[in-house]
Amino acid sequence: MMKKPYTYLAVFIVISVFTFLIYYFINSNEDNNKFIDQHPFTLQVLEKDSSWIYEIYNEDNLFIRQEFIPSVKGKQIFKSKEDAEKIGKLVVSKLSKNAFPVISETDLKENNISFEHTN
Amino acid sequence: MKKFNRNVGLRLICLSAILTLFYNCNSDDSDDELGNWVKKSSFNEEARSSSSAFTIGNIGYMGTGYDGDDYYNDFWSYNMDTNSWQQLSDFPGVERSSAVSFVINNDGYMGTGYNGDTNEELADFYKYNVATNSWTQISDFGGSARYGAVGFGSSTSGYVGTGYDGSDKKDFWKYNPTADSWEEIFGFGGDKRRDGVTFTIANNVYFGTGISNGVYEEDFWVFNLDTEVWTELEDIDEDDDDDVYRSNAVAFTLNGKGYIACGEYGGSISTVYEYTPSNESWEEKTEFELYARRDAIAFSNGERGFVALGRNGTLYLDDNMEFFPNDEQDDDDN
Repeated sequence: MMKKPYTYLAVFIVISVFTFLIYYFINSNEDNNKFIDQHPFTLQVLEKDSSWIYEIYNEDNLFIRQEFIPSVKGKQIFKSKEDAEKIGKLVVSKLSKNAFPVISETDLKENNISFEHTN
Repeated sequence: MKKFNRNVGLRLICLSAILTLFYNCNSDDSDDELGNWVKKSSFNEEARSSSSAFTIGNIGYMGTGYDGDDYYNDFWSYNMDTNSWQQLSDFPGVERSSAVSFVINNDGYMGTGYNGDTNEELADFYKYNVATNSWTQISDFGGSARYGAVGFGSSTSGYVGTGYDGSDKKDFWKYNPTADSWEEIFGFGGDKRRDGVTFTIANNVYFGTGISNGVYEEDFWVFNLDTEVWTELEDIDEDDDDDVYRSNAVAFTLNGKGYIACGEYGGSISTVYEYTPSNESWEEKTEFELYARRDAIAFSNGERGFVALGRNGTLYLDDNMEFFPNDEQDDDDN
């Protein structure tokens, strides 16, 4: 009769070990995913029909293709490569801080982007 | 003899423990439901919910919303072909959440909603011109200022109804873009509610779900865009196996079938139901494969469907997933 506690203990240990192994397996998978989730964003500034546009890639995948100056009314184009590059870099910096990559009119003014205020 | 029995018992316990563990591991994926969700270009970490969205051609448009701290008035397009986003002209009204939108021909309309900074329900409405990337203000919504309404459009008119203006509503209004005017239309005999959904198949708009005073609405209606007549259909809880009822869900149309996905039922949920109009039946599909969520948005051009953003409790979400209703579920594309 003294052996009964050992039997229970053995069962308990077997179940514990299995549970631990499976949790370990699942968690190690999740850690891998987290690592992959730290995406590097890259910026490309392109000339298109005498205007400048920027593209932002998430790893190798196109994520944002910005053909017009964001936020402002109408299809206003970036007039210089520098303008497109400044705003593109700002979007990347917002993304790298895990912020929503939204550009406001204030951002445009602070970066001296030339645009028409049509409202 | 006793010892032998004990060993057999021990083995049986171990074996059943192992079997149980393996069974649990497998049960996640061994659904009978068909459908597969594939991750597309997603926003990053700090996301938002209660945005408003509409689709014109192969472009989905999304704007406004709330991220837990701030209300927004930015406006974006998602190109289904290039799988990329573009920030467009800001929505000209105040920042808001739970706005409503509809499409008449190839123009988008967005209005009403809620701004928590001023604690105000809103009635202002705007038209978005795709060709010029510009907004113009139109007449204020004809009903009371509200949020959590539903909206849908035909080739000639827009319709907005239900929602919450301090209490739950059941009125419907029609927008005439030629006269720039709103007119109340009657005939909806269902319950008042907020945060319901509609999906449009051919000239029929199907309307259901939503909540009023903590009760999930079970009635289900169809509105014919040609005759402007409401007809009540079988309740969505008619079949005990179906759990279609919910609020704050998204709905979209793919290849002549309607889909209601995610939403809120006690907590955030991820289940997906497919509606077949010919036999008026619901079928459960593969559930949304990332976080369960409410207040998401959906884009659909009738052949492709996407569900994006939303929140789970206080966790705001950034994902954008495309749904393939007839594919086998696959974990490797999330």
